[in-house]
Amino acid sequence: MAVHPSAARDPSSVPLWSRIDRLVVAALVVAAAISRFWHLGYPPEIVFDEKFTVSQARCYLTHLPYRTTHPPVAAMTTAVSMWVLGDQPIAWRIGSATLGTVLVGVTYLLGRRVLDSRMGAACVAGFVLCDGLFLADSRLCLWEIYYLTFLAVAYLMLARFIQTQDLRVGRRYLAIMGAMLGFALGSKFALPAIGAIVVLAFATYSILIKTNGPGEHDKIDLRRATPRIIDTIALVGGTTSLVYLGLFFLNYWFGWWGGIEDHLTYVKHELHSQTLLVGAHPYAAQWWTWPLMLRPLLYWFQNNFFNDPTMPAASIRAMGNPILWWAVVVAIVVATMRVVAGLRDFLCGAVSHWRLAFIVVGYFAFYTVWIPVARYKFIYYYMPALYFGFFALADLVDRCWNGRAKTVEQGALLAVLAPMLLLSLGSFAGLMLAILIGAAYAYTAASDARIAGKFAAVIFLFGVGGSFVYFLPLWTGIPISHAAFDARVWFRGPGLPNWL
Amino acid sequence: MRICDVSKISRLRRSRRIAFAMLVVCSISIAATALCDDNLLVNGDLSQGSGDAPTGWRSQALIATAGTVQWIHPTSASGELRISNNGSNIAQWGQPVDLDQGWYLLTAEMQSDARPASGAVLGIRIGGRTFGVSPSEGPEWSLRGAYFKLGEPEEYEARPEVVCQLSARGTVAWRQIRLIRVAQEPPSGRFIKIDVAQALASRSQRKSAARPKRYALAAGAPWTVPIVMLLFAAMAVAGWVRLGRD
Repeated sequence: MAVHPSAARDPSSVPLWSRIDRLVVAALVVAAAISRFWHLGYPPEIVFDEKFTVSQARCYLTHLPYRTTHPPVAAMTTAVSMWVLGDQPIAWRIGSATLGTVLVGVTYLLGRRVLDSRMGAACVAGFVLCDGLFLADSRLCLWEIYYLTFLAVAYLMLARFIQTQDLRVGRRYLAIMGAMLGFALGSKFALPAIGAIVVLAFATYSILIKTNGPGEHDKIDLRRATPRIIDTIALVGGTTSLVYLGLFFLNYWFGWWGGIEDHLTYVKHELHSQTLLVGAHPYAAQWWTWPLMLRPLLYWFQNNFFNDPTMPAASIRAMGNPILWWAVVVAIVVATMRVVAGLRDFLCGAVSHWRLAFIVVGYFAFYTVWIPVARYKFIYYYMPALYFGFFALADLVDRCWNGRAKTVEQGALLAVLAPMLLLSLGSFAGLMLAILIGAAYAYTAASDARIAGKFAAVIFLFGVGGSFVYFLPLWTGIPISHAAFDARVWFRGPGLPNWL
Repeated sequence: MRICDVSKISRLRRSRRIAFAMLVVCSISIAATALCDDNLLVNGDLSQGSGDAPTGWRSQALIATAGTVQWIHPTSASGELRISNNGSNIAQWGQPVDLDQGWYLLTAEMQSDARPASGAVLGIRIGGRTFGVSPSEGPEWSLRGAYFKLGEPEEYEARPEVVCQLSARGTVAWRQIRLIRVAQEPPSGRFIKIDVAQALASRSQRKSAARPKRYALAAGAPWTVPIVMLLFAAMAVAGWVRLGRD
């Protein structure tokens, strides 16, 4: 949808909900459900950290304690599905698959509000749909999709709160936001707290702006805003804590915990456990390797740790869609430059800037928090930052589509395709196709800049779709020939890049 | 005289027969020894091969750097397989084998400085799991081995594979690798016995079992839970009410 320039400056501007939205969100959710639920029971065995989540669920069903793991939401959900469907792989994973499907729909709704565009919203939901790491984690009983989905709903509530002028209406969104943050904190140890801090920071910013009127350059009066900020923090913090503590009710019910002191002991124990996870790990990936996807992680392999040339290769990898991941790097750089350029206006209360600032702050908050952490790290820790990165990328594609992106931004978006073409098609064919696309873009740009932007967006989206189909076997464990497997594992070391 | 000559001739003939019989027995023994080298592995002494590849063996490594896997093979002599891991890595030499139900003895001479020693294994990989023995610590070559009891081949999803594996730091070498079939259950002795079929069955049972891990003994006072919950509820309600006044 083309956005009117004046509307884009209004924080409350959102594309009106229409039949197109219903159709788009329905199509996205159906596609997500197909990709998440298809052969969900495969592989028919415990995969990677399912040994923790499924074990904990079994312990709940047999009223036994299970200490050494994350908070209980994923395991409790799994226990319920196992109680209904029996102890089988589909029952283990149905919670993740459901939330992974919901996440695509929620992302569309959030995209409409954060990007103020249907095209951008469809893109960002499509990126979540077509990313390998989001897909693989949605098809396994792991913690990531749980907390990411709850955080996404919290972000949606934040957007609704910011875009609502009436605080009596807005407090509903704050309450739901608090509950979602509680569920997120109850799904994964500590990490969702970063999301809570980001959300509260932007809710506070919104209160400041609302208290001081809609004018873009009003001076911020902290004294007037402080009581409302305290009320907001009380409402969100109280709801979050209430829900979070309530999620541990089974620990009290079964007598494993006596009081709050036991909860604090558990938190101390988990923090201490993190300090023990130092040293080398074959799957470890340093934080600075994540955006370029240099070291994915092997979740599962069939029969043999190594790829057996005499058998079809079947494995599940925690790796993303390379085009998306590499393009996110470009998009975040572009978004950060735009935020920095508009920083003064943002600080002075130009609320139209909250959208991009929210994306950039969210990305760097979840990413940089890992820099000082000493324990070994894995690539899937990048997921919450990547989620924000998808919004920056969708914004870039949307701006290309609407002719608002600069030529250099369009060129950078297309340039991301070059390594993919070279690595998947081989040097000659890949180079020829890359040159052909570059020449076609240059010709279009010379004649009509708007059409050039649309060309860049369409070619990029085709690349994303093609890459999704190409790499699908590595995310779902579909058996493929040894040659097909070799063609997809682009990096095998020695050295830093190693797709295992 | 004649009788005496006949007796001599008779003795001579008997000696010749005995000598011939001994020759035949020796020949049969030598041939039988040669034929009875019942090593089920191809190129178990690692003497044959071309380039860096010993015949029948293949190398694999999670992180394959130069020198990680090596075949050391002096000219016209038996060779050795070697794996060196400088960092965290998993590498192996392996040879797929077709084995029926029954007992087998796998032996090899091993030399290792792996840390920990349990990171080096001579064994059989089957059903996605490796069963085997680790070397004794020290620079000397030592004979290591184990008896394996295997079930019906249909019970396993893939062919068993004899593996020389290193999943720790260090350098380990294997030579004179032999896998032979044993007619019946071996007596307890120098080599350990591993019932692979039973281990895989109990592993599958463990996979579906709930394995509890206890919390520290409950020490908190029960009254603290409702008090803290009420406190947070009061916070939330206060925020809700006050925001509604605006």
